[in-house]
Amino acid sequence: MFRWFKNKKKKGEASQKLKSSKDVTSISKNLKTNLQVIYQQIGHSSDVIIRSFQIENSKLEAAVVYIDGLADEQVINDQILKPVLLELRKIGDVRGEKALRDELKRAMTTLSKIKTAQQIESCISHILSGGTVFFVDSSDEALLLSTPGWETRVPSEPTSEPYIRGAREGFVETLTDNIVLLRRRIRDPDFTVDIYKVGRRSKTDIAVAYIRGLANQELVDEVKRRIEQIDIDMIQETGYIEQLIEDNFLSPFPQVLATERPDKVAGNLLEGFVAIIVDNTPFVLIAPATLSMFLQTGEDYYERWMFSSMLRILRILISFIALFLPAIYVALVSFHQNLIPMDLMISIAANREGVPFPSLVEALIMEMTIEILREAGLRLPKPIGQAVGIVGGLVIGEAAVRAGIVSPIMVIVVALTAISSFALPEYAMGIAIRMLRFPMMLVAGALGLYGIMLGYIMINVHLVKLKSFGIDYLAPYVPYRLRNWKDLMIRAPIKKMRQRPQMMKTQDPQRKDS
Amino acid sequence: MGRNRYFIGIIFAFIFLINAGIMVGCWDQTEIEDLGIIVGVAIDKPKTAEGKEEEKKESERNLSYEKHRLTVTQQFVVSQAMGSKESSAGMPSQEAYSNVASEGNTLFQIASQFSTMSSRLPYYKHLKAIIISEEIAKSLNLEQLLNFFLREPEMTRDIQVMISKGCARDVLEVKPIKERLPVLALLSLTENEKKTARMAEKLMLGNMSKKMANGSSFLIPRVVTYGDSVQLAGAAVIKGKENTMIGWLGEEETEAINWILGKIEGSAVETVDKETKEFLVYEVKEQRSQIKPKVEGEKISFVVEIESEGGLGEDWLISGDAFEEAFMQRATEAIREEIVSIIYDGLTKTQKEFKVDVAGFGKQLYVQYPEVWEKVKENWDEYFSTVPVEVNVEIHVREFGMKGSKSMQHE
Repeated sequence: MFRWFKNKKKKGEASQKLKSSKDVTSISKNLKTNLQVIYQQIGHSSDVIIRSFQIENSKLEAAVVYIDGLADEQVINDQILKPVLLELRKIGDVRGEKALRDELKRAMTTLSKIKTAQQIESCISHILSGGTVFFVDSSDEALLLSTPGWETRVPSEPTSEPYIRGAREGFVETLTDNIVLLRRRIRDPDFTVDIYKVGRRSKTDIAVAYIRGLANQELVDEVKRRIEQIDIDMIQETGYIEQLIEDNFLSPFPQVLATERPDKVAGNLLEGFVAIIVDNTPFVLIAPATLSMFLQTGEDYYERWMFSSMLRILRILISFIALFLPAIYVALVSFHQNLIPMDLMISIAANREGVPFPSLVEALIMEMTIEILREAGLRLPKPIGQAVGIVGGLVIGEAAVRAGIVSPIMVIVVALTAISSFALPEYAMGIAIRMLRFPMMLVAGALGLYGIMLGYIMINVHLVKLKSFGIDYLAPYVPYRLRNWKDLMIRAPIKKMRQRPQMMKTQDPQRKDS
Repeated sequence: MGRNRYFIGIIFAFIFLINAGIMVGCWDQTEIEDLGIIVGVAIDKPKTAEGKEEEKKESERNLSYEKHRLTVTQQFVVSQAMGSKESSAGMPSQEAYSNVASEGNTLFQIASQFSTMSSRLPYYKHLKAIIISEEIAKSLNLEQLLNFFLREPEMTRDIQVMISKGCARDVLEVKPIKERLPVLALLSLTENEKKTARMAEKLMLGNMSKKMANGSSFLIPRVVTYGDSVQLAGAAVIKGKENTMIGWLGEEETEAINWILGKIEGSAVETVDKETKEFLVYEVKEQRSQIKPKVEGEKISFVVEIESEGGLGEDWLISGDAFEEAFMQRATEAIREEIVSIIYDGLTKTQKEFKVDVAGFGKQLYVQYPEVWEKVKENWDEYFSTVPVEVNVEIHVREFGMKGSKSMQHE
């Protein structure tokens, strides 16, 4: 009890400390004082480098502060120190602060970004995000120099969403590179990126991207508001953001779409969606998300419309199979045998002859097995993972049937279900459906088809109630907007798609005129 | 606080759901392999003297046992044997079916007796055929007999009804060669309507019940067993209102009724060429018929217009040349006469001998002259036997197959 109290007290202290650090300390004219303050705050770490030097002829003391490895030392030497030390010999003659600053800036003109700062805090955050800070004695301003030097990954094909036709580049872990990937696709001057720093300690950069004058302003404001409200110590991945800003955390369905593909994000931005890009992860969020978005791929728009339409209808079928097939099997086999054609019924009965479990248990065992196999194959290193797949698929399936633990038809049902759930284009929807399959099987085992109907109605009730950023999750099915059905179960020819989705309430609803 | 309440709600929902599952569900649950699927039922009169003593005892209670005593044979599917495709590894292949017989007064009673004899729960939802023996059909009202099947919700309405010549159980005993179950073999036979006109139209239990309720006469397909084979041809004539069988129609007579009904999808008519006395076969490909009632004052008469298209399927004439107009005309005429005579034979038998209307004349009268029908419907079968019927047949021999002539000149 006392310990708990102590802990609480400590927590309070800690938060106070954090708060106090938020107080503003302005830069003093004395270089030594500045360096001391900085040393106090971050100098305890050995990778913080403070290099003091004297500018020749002028006796002016100066210093650069950066973090080893995070800032590019090559750039610091060639573009900051060299010009300042070699070319600015006459700097001693320069009088007046402004003139000094201009002179320094001129010397470092090859650097891409130079800003000035008056507060120590902004200097520190600049240092911690890979920049270099230049202090000069007798100046109460510091120069913030951009010298990013960390390793970045080259954009490569997104492994989570490979397309046959479509760009081979996916997002990377660097926020700026990701924004570049989007900017390269949308050269619209209205393309806007607002950057936030979220995370008490991680101070992760989060960018909210949208098209100004196109996206619904209320939606943009809502997204920003939710991001501003986030209070957490660290943001590791977009998953954190997704779970912190979603509408209903009790729903099994994903309410924000995560993607690795810049083309998909660009397409959605032009439909009035808002993208949330987080530093250090290649997954970008698209908000809001509707159910239909999880059954579509960007490739649908690249292939010819008839084929894409067929695929979309197929995906609806797939999601039903993935959700209901084992449940329907259980219901038919243990309750409604008269609904099975006689020949099939006899063959199922013959196959189940000698199986010791009721069909519900049999189905649960097999579905569990599949989930275990899937997880094992996923977590193992790739070459071993494949071996697990073979062992699981062939040996266990075949052996279980031979041993009479499960019937061969059950193996077919389970295999078809598993393949269907993997065939869904969005992993997040796939796992939601895979999970819901189990309660469906249970109700089917208890109440038969009646139970399946009840379960389906419950899912539908939930979906109808669900909203993502104020937009109905089932839109445009519910509320019914026939005009948007052009891009729903079928994908109409691009020539015929003239409007942006109505549900997005865009400020510029017309995609094109003719 | 609000969140807590939400959680409590969810927990309650779970408890409710689990309870609902445990307390409500599962009473209807029977695993598929625990069912004894019954595909066919045969109804016979008991042959043996078994139970005679019991009968005597019961007869003291003034029940007419002789009339009511029934033997019911049910064909169960042995799904294990069905599942093993071909007898594997030289094992003596097990029969895919087992016939179980039981005796009793009422079908429901007998059905419940089966539950005491079968290790699997008798399951009637896949019942496909009811075979009634001639004896039973002649002595019992079929509406009473089949009442059980019509009443029981487990039965479907597309069960086929057939009448066997001789013992009905024998039909279930005939081991088919191409199928695994005798009943399924029998059902596949009914699908062959496309190729022959000698079967009566298949009769579903639902349709039969409709006809019995209307009081109209109808035909039920006839099953005949010859040793180890089964034939489906001909028909039993069921007299309306009494709903008992009054006699058989032979194969050609059944064909005649099918011609009048316009139900032929394919058949062969054999005739003899008048000049050469050689055989000709007409292959029926299409056939239509129309029954036209005529009412003049009190007199009712019918004209049956029959039209058919087909080809010359076979001819035994050396000089037969299908490219020759005169020959084709001669052949067409011969075929036409043959068909007319077949139809008159069948019609006479049903109309004059059995005094029933099984070809739907009454219905046409009802459709076109409802007020006349009102007057005669009470005793229609009797009345019909005095009504003159005229049959007009039109034949179009459109094709002669791949080879028209036997002589060389046209090849």
